[in-house]
Amino acid sequence: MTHQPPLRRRSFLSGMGLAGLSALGVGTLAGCSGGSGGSFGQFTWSTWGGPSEVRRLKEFTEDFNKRHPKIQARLVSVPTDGYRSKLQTQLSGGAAPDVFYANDDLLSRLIRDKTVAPLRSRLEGPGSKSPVKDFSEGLWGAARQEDGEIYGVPVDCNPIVMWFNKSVLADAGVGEEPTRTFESGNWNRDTFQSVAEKIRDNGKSAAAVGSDWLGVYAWLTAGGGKVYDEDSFVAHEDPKSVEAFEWLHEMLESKTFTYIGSLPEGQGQEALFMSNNVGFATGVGRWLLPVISESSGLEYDIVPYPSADGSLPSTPMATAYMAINAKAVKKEEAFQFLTDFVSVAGQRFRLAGAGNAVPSIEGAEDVLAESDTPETVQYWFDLRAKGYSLPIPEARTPGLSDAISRKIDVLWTGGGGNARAALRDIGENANRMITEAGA
Amino acid sequence: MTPRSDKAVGSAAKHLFLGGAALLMLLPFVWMVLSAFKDFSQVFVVPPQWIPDPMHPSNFVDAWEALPFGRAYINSVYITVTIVVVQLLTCAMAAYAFARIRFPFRGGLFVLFLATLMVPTQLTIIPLYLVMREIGWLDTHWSIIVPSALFNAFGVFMLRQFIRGLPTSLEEAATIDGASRWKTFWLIVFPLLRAPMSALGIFSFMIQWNNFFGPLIFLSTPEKFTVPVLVAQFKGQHTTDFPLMMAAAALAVIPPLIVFLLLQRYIIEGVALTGLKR
Amino acid sequence: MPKTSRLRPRRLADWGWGLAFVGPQLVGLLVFVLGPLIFAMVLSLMEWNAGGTQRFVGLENFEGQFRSEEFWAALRNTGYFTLLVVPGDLVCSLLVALALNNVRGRVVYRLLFFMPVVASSVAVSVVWLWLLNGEFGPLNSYLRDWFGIDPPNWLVDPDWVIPAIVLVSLWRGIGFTMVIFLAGLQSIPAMLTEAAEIDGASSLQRFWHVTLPMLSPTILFLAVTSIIGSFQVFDLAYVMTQGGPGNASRTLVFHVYDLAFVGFDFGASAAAGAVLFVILLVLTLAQLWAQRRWVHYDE
Repeated sequence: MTHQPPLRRRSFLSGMGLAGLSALGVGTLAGCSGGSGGSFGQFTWSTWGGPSEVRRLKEFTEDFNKRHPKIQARLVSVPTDGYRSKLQTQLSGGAAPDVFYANDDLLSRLIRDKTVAPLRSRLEGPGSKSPVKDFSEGLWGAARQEDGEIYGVPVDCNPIVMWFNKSVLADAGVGEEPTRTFESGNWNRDTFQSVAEKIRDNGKSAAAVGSDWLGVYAWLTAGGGKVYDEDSFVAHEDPKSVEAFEWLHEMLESKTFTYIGSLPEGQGQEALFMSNNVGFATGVGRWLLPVISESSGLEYDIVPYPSADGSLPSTPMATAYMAINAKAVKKEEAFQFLTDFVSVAGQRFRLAGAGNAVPSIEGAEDVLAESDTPETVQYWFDLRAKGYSLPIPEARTPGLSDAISRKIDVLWTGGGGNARAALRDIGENANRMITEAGA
Repeated sequence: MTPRSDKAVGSAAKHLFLGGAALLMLLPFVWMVLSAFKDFSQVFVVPPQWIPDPMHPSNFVDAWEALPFGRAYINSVYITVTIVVVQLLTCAMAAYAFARIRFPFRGGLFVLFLATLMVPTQLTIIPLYLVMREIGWLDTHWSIIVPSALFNAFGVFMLRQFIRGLPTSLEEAATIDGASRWKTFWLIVFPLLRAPMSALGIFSFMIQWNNFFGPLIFLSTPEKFTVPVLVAQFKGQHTTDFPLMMAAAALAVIPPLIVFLLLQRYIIEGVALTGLKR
Repeated sequence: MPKTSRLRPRRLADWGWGLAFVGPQLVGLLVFVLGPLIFAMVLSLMEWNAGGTQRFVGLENFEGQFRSEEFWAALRNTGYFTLLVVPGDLVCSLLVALALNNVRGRVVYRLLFFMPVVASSVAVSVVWLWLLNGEFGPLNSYLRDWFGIDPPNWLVDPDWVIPAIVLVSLWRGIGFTMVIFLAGLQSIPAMLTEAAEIDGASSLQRFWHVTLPMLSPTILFLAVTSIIGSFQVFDLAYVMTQGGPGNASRTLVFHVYDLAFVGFDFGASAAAGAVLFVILLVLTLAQLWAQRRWVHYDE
């Protein structure tokens, strides 16, 4: 029995030498080539989404191909969790799809890197079924540059609302439903707070809130405050925003609200809401509907966020854009698909039946009314006209949304001390990041 | 206390410990399987309710039909089996060389193998994508099969450790009888590796079966997707289809469990059957 | 002189055999791992984005990382995670493997312990998200109702998020480590322990003087691989917490991912990855160097 000597330094060095040799082999791989092409106007497009959405999109693609015999569109659906990694890897390798979905911050970055094609002249051209003016202003957000050029079209949208659980409110002795209060012009922060306190005193949580931009900015701008101006974060300097932020923090500290945690979206709200443990689900759009509508006996509706004076607030909208790869060979065919996809007919086709979003184009509103929905659908369209998508400075700064949300997360979990100071820190950090990214 | 009752007490304690621990291990699993029989509202009952009432066995059918799982199972099975078989052979060969044969750069090469254990996939995925593009393997199963079949530093390391733990006397006898290296390896050493290779086979099967990142990045045709890629699709942008995802995940566990049940026998018997030990 | 001439051919043949045996794995190593790795190392010295613009920036990316709070948080969290999970995994798995080695019903037990290993990590993470949910998850419900404990809000509490991830990792990892230990235990000749028993050694003595030394190559193997594995913890942090709350569960690999695919900074991501690689290399070499003190090979 002998003890074999362990690895020596010389062995280690020879290993590193071998590593150097194989480096020569990959030096030639750095170049990039163009996007995918093919005959007969063939192209691929890619999206994320759950099975039911994907099935609908597949039907749409087949229908489109039938209507356009000379074009062959092919759908590649990618799991949501891996979408970003896959698309960026494909773009780096020069083998990305010709048409694809992108959310605000991804699109901003792709615009900067010139990896997506300009669309404005085509959208305004004769072949367009989706002229720019048919979409609400607030939806263009990161997709439109200062010079008016457009690089992506909102496929649909999700204005952020508060969903309320009727039985939780009734049990707490809230006599009037929030929708009615809103209609009478009295749905302001004070009325909301009295409703919230009744629910809390009844042993339930009034609202579930998150730390993402949709959930937090909604409170700030509903109260009349600003979060961003043209090119910087201003919430920490705007008295109304500061006040709303402090109020939100107080509501959490006093356990009137529950923090749903830094969990990925869709992991907490519906549970609390469906089990009658919370009065309001906040910071969510229409995507909550397919989940909660499965629960029999649950009664609910939507209401806009309470504003300072009871009028309709301006609140965030979640949206995704469809963009065309700058290296796409079949740009004309790709655009025909895109404009068909976001047109009135296209959105009707995609959102018919249950649907988990709101059309982004004007003229397709009846698709919600037709499909026998439980909620007050008019609010979706009112909010769509007044709402905003991710503010441009935030969308253009890589990692900023995430950084802000992490800091709010720390504050909401009790680690940040005073809300005013935390917001100042968030603002200063945000502006530093914006400046660095712009440089 | 007699030795006999001593043993009985010891064995009872063992069972108590193992039973308790096994139960803890099992509970999250049980919850997953039971959730697969619930609808949305039943999953989210507070306080938690374990047994679904009423049961919704249709979730399994719905999950199966929601996405092309039949095709994905065929893909996953053949990809995984090919990888595991080829990998076991190449790993055993390399491990034998590292443990028993003297050749230049042996130590350096081994360090290199170990070093690559430390490379996170997230770091090399873009260059690897470029390699696949150059070879022309994008959107083919080769891009999943070949890199894993031809490389598993973990397996090489593991088998090398086992080979070095084996007595050298048998091999020496074979060499004196004039057997070539290949014969010595194939007839003497390879059969002795049954136990560690079963363990490696089980583990490798499970890793490859659950491989998500590779197929996600390299495959672009839905018909070529593997099971984990489809299971992940139940997670949408804002909401997750909990019950269907649990049903799909529960179904996805069956093949690796079968492999485990088939191979675990050899972990016990493998060494004993060689007649060397015990 | 005659001695060397007799040895030469044998030696040369061995060189050929050695390379032939290592060959297939060596090709895989060079083409699919080392090449991409070196490319990534080159990347760490560049400013590089998806659009294809590339610029050599020297060590700027590394300096950026060493100045970045997030990088140090990631390093700290990863170290903490490793410190908890590696000893925990080795000790628990060895205990289970020893108990399982010769017990009635071991086939069933082995299956039960191994089941968590085979489940897909996305599904496992979703299950544990619910089990660990502080407000309404089963774990905390039972801790409150049955034990009267006021439990932490696991994944949302900066102090508890790493222990919570450790818990899930142990749950998922014990089955695997146990299988390797079992295979190791099986290769210990029974006559050794029997001889010790005849000599009157107690079971603890037998474990300490026979089983443990004979198991030492396996332990070395598991120590090396589980440290590497734990330094690479990614999917739990990615699916369950997204590195949060704040940066409390940001791990190094999550950081590498986040820089590249959320921050769009491939150069910085490669630099962080390179640092991780060097740390692991040093740790592993240190372990291999230290092995001569405690690992026992039968040769």
